[in-house]
Amino acid sequence: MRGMRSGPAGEGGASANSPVPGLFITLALVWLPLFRELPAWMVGSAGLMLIARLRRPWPGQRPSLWIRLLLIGVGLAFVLITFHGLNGALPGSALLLLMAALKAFESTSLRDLRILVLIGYFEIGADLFLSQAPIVVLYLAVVTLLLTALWLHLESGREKGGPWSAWREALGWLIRALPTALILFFVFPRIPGPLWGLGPASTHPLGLPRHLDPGSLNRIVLSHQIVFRIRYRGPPPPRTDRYFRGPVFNHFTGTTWLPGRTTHLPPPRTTRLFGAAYRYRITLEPTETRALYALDFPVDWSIAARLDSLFELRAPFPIHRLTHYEAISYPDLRMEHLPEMTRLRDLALPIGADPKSRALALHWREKDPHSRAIINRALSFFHNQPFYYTLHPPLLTKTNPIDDFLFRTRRGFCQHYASAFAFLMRAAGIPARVVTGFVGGHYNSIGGFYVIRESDAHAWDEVWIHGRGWMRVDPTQAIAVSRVSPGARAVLSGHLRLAGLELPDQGLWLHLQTSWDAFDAIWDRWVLGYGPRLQERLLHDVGFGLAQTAEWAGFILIALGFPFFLNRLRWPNGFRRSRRIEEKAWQRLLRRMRPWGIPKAWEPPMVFARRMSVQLIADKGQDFLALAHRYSDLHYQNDPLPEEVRRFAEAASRYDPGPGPARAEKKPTQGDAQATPDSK
Amino acid sequence: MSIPRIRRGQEEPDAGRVPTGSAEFSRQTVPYRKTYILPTPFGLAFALMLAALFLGAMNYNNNMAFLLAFLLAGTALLSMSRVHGNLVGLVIHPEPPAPVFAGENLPLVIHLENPSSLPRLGLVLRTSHLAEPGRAVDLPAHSSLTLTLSVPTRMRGWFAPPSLRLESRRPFGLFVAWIRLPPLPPTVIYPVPANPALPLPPPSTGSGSRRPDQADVEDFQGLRRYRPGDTLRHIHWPAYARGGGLLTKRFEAPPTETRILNWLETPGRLEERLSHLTRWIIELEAACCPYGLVLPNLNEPPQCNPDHHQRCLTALALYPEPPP
Repeated sequence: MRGMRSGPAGEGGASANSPVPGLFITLALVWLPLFRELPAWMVGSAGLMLIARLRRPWPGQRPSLWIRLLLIGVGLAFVLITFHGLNGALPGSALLLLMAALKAFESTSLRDLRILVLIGYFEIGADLFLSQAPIVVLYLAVVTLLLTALWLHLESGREKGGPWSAWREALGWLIRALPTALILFFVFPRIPGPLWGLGPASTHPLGLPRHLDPGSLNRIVLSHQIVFRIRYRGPPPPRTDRYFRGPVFNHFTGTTWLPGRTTHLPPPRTTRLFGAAYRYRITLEPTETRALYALDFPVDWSIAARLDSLFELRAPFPIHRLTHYEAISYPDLRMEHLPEMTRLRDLALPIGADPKSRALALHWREKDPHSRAIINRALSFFHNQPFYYTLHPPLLTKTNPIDDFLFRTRRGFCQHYASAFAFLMRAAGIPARVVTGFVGGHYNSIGGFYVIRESDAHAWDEVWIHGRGWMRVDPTQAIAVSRVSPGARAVLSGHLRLAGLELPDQGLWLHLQTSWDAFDAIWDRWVLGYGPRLQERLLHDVGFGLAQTAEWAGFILIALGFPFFLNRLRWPNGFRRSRRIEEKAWQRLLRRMRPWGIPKAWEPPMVFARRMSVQLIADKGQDFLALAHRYSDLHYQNDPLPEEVRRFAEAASRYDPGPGPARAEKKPTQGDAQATPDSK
Repeated sequence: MSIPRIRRGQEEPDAGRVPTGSAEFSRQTVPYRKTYILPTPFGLAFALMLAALFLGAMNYNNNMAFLLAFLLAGTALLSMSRVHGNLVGLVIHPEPPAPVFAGENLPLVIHLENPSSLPRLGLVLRTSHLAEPGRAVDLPAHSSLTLTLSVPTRMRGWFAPPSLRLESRRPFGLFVAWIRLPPLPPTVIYPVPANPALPLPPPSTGSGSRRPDQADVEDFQGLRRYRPGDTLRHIHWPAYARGGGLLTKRFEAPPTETRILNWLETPGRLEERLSHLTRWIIELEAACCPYGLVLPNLNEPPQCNPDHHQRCLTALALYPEPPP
């Protein structure tokens, strides 16, 4: 490692026009996508260390070893405390940030700066682990270019020019490396599955929560992240049936709904299917949870997953990457028999809480004990009383939250209504549970699929009706549309559309969003989704089976040999080297010579010039001959001097063949006959 | 390595002939096959980083990270042939080193010419035993430059310049390509001039033989008929032009200041004596006073001209050490 210290650039940090500030800015750009995710103290202290280094450049010596070890230890401890471990891409990035800041703080030599460049490249990779959205990729491509330019600047030891002045050169390098990278990308053997559990890549799990507190859907509903896309085989179901089932909650603690304890029982057998089946294909984003979403009610699916007694589809492992699956659902599913255990559980309520609500439910039951009648009374209660739909509901009391909601605040969103409704049903003796999932979806006319975002998250209820089975009831839809707050209206256009109400489309913006969604889908499917399976299919389609090790070894060798092949093409000055100047000048000259003749296919310049020189006036002929001589000299030289090339090009453009040939007097030769159309 | 390395004290087979300045070293083009290339330690660290990035990409099945890793690997591979290309086809022309005094730095001079349109980046001269390389320079297309690397000298005698290598690490510093330059001829290192100098020995006018036609500062005495062997500078051309035949101008040396520097009359031990003699020779040469040198193994008659100067200093430089 000693040899690196004294590189060709000499002392990297000390000079007045040093690359250090540029390097620090570039590193800040590398970490920029994570600034929101990382704790503020970490970003702040890293920034302070960089500024401290810039204010007082170390005159060739670094802080003592003990101070450095202490700083490293403190940084490591803080990261461990903040993230409870180092597992995952975000804690890794945080640690890398602290290490980079410390390295920058103590940097004295070119070697230190080079290590910072390496850390920077690695961190660009870590950024990609956290997000591969097209915008992020584009941004990081620019950052990669800047870092490469800075690296070139660092290595050249140049005093002149800004830190990124070598960006053109860097672009040349990256573009020329692209063919190799692409070949390797497609043919390098991909190993399915994670090599080791590095923890979740993304910063927070996508999709629905595992507990349902009042307000736990709040964050999700405001997020526009795509959860999955769905493409129906055949006509899509009517809007009122577009409910995508997620986690089901059947245990109520008084404030929170928890998933039921018996979720791992197999689904009940005594089911009957009615109506049309819907086939569809879902592309699920990495959610980091086991939940798979399917249209109510799934009966068959193409992925390793199981359906439990609550009709939740669950994968055996958390979804770490883009996943595709097909499924078949029947919207009308009937069940005969509710096990006694299940019935008791789905009627259970915490003792003593919310007396007013219980009284209301019992009152309804006394009036008409029919389940459907009770349900209708509850729905009209929501419709007629001044219940408001808002995303910013007032806080509820801890002791009697349902009473508080139903009789005092009367403001909330889907989750509040579903929770209160299930409470009322249970109190009235009807087994009920809360289902969370997504509804609707936005149709993408370009891609022909529906996009379901986190903002489409919804909560509804299922009640048991004797003789029919579980029936879906969506109490949120009972609220009068006039009582939906404008803010919620914008966010929840999907929900409202479900209720049969159209909000005006937003024109151009909607169109742009549709196009972007379509592009996003292609990006996800073909760029990010390229993996072992797609690779095998692709290689099989072009006629290679991955079974033969020799074949992909050959591919990789070709890819690795590509740079050397490119080198043979002689691109000395980056990618800007174009056709040779002298050739272009000669072609221009030939165009002006057309009235006299054009070279035949076999005719080398000198032979052509000799033929022409007899037709031209004496001096002009000699000049043309001389030019042709110079041209063939230059053209067949390995590496002509640029000045000579330039001088030749000037002479060729100055050359004037004189007045056009007098056609009428002359008997045209073969060469002239070819030229006739141009001359007139 | 055809010329054996010669150290001080070793007998030079042809001690009277000094190879400096006489041997013309041929220009040569760097051949493809003599250019070596290896990754630098930084290159290995880069490879390690790439491997880590690749493993991470594989673990998260992250396609863009794969692409980044492959892109950087491709760039590194491309740069490999570029580093190699920095040297291949260069025309190198080493200059035989001139003698210096012990303790001074000996400049080793290499002329480089780039006949191609490919700019050569970051060319550095480096010796095997010197940690510090020279400054890196860029050689633009179709141009030439001179690289100099100074090596310190310590002892008088024959000095074989260390073998040189010309290397380049640009553009990225991931690889180092180098060629071994042909060995430079050995050169003589003159003894250290004494400091402070002793007073010069007294002039011995009688003992020096007069060489009338030798120096420029002598006084004009008259003309005589031309004899073969007379230098052309002293021919009286106006007379020849008038048709008076070839006449040679005769000069008389000034009657003073001829000194004999005698080994036996110089104080001090061996090296001190050599140092004092060196010092005197430098001073007398600068003042253009004829001097002779008498060593146990040499007797140089008094003269004052560059050849003489060089012969005397070389004799001092190569003066054999007594066997221990």
